[in-house]
Amino acid sequence: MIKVLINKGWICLGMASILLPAMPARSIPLFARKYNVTCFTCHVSPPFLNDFGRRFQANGYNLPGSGSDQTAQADQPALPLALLSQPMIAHRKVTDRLVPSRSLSSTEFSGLELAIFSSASLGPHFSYFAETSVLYEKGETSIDLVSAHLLYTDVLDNGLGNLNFRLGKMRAFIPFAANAMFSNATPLIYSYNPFNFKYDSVFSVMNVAEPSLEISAFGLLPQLLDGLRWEIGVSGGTKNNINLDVSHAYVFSLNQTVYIDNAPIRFGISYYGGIQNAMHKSDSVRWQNVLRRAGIDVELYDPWTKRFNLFGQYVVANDNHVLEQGGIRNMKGGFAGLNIIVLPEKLYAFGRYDYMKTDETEEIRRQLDIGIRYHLLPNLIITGAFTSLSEALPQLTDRSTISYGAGILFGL
Amino acid sequence: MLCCGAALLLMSSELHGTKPDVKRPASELLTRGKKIFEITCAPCHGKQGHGDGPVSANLRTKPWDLVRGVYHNRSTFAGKNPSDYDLYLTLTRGLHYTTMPFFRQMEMNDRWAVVEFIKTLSPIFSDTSRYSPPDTMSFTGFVPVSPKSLIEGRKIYAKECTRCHDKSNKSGTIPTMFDENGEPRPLIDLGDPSVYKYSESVMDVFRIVSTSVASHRMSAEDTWNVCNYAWSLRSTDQFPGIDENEK
Repeated sequence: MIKVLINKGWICLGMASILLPAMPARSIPLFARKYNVTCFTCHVSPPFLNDFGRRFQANGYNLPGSGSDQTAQADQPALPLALLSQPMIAHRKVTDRLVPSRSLSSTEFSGLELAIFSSASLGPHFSYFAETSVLYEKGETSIDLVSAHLLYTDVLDNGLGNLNFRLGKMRAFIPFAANAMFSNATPLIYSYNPFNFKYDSVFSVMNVAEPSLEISAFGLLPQLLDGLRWEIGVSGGTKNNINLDVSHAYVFSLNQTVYIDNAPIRFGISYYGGIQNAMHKSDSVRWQNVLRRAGIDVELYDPWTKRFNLFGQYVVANDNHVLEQGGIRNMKGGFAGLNIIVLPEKLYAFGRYDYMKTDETEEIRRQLDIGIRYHLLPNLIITGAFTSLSEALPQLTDRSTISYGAGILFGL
Repeated sequence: MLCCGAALLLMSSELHGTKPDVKRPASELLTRGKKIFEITCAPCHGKQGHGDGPVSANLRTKPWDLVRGVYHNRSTFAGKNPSDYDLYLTLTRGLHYTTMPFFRQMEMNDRWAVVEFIKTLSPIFSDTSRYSPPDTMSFTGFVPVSPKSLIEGRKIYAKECTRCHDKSNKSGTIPTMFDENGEPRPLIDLGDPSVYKYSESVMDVFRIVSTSVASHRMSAEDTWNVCNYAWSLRSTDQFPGIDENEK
């Protein structure tokens, strides 16, 4: 299923940013069961990965340094399934200064979304990972195959994870900060939409943040530089809606981790570029848009307590053909955030500020997101969040959206 | 019974130093062990092994300080260094219900390489006075699980163990205990499966008890009885046929 968000672009975008738990947890209790450990072996708090979890992920969901997973099959649970859900309820108030009639206030339930995970070793070097989302909302049920891919790990058979492959529907591992954020609010730059400058245009999200059909190679290169991760992939693209899809795209990223008193500092570069096929709503005109996204990212912990985690990303984007008659769009934006481990394995606080500007349209969007999460149990988390979003597009929009809500995240 | 006996023989031979023959060219092995340690262990234990890796700030039970060289999961007696196989066993099995995973999928030679590297982190492993192979414990006097053993074990438990393991602390006399890192140790509820970090069988409980507090207090038979009882607190699954009330 592909979420169809057509028309009323601003409203959809605002709602998507605020209400949808758009970055559902990708943690998988299956691994905790498989290796007989707690969630905190790999997570600061799910889905935020710690250093060990990042290495576990980079090693193709095998324990780092373990080489080919010779005996993992014997260790696997009989039923390689895990479940996660994150229902939330949120109150939202939208104030539109240009069109007061569009102002609204409401309390909404995110719906019941159940993420079903499966992962298992298929023998030495091979494993798979799959995630399916079942959403029940407003009387309707939808099923979405979020991710399903095959992993071929430790291709060089040296136990260092130099070269691994993934094939299937998936997200890129490295460049995007989903693994470094407690917040559920999608970063604005991930939902940058050059086609969305007026209400009746087609709606797009920044495709690299969404799972796509892809083949990628990734790994660690300790022989060259300790802490260096790399990933390169070719995406078959995603179809955002009936009027827009990505025909193909390339993903490349490098990320280096260094340590000061065992506190990691990560910095990286990433690039995503490709071709989008666009079509006017009337199906009268078709054209292609070349898109390019390049970014730098950084994440660091304070070296004294290692409880303060700062992170940020800055992205520049270029689209060369966003209207049927042409039209270039250049975007600059990013975010900076702080996660705080208040009580280990129990209480966390987070905050993030987003900024995004599109040069040609002078569209400016800002977002502040703060919240807390509390672990009643390792796999049962109470979350609360406050989000403020302002969107300004000269002559068209000047709106602010305030949202606050609470929810639970639980996994089995 | 036969299975238990075979397992005892196997474990006993392992603990007495007959670990698998592994070719270990020292420098290559240490280099290999260091590399794996930095990838696999350093996130929690830190590159220098002080237990202060980047993950440690988020863990309530801090990763073990490998430099201090204090090890509970030993087959050697108090004050002695753990055997190489003790370290290998911890690495292989992990510590159950903690954040320490098992690494039995890691190639055997790599596990030995990590063990060799871990030994370079602490000065205790270069102190020859702390090696005394004859002091390694043995599994002599094995007492199989039976109602009689459990009853005897319960008596000994009430007399010897509840001073520290009476979770309710009804007597109010249990002093605060500290571990080797100076951290307060909570009272251990032996009915909680998660406290059996090192143990996969009653033999592991016997090994831990024999090399620590009870090493000079109890006979082998009493130790087996009390271990059988302690293990039974954890679960009845291990002892089919034993009535819960008989505990």
